[in-house]
Amino acid sequence: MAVERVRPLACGRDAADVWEHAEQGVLDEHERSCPHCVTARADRARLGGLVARMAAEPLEPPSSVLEQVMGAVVADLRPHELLRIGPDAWLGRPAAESALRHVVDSMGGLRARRCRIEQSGATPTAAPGTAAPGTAVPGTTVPGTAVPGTADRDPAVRPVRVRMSVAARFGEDLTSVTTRVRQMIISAGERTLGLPIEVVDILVEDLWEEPA
Amino acid sequence: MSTVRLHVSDLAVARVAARRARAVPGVTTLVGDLQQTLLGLAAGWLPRDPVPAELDARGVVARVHGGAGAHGGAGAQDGEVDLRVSVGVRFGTPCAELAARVQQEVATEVAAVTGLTARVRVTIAHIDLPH
Repeated sequence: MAVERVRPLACGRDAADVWEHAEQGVLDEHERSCPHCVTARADRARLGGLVARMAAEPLEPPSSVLEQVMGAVVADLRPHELLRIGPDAWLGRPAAESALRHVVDSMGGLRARRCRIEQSGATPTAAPGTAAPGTAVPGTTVPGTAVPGTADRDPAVRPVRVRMSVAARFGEDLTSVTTRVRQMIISAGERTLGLPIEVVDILVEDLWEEPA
Repeated sequence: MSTVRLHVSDLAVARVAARRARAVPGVTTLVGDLQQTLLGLAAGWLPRDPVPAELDARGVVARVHGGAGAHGGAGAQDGEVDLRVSVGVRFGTPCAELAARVQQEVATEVAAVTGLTARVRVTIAHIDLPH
């Protein structure tokens, strides 16, 4: 036995030996009857039970005070961070933006970077075709195109402009990429977010190469 | 003949609304603001009657107009309650439809339980994205 000898039990036996014998089922006559050895064996049984019970408990990461407060700070929405999606109904802008980023991320050959959703405050529902083109951002910006079919909405729900910057895989046809992104954003925005999308600006910010 | 006046507190209405809002399909959680979270943390340390999880009012702010409180909001009348509900939803749930459903279900429930007419404002504060 590799364990260093420590103070033995009052009867002269070593508790570690008693535990080991109990485990192997080779207790001798003394160990079965001696009160000190019986106590030592009871300790082992109690510890085993405790460990088994704790191991069986489902793991629940404790949410610290800091986590809870930080979550609330992040979720605390100021009025300008709300997008109107219906009468008395709003959608948090950060939530909507991360949803759109997620949609783009799930497309092959693309990584979403920044996303910005702006809801026009002044113009109620601009007629299709008259929407202002995207701001002239240097680089490979595709000017947004007006999305038809958004005029029959609740007039309180203003159409939005989405600005998304992406990184594309090297070799992707950028024109078709932007068409796909535009289609995905319009579809996700209108169907799941409930936001009529007026303009989509896509900025291909960077290219990346698949590691060989 | 005696008169009986019933006044329902803000907190009671908020609990009713929170319980109903949580039950709407697509709603994953109610999102409390900073103030509610801090108060909730503080309440965890104070000796108080434990509140069952289904009656947790975090994420709902209610204000009952008229009655004992007599807040006297602009244009609000007795028997009306203003409710603000902040929810988190599962990704893929149509947000506009969900907000309308939360408004309708919460208003119906509050009317049935308390007799108050509720105006429900819904904010979708969080969208749960699949991993």
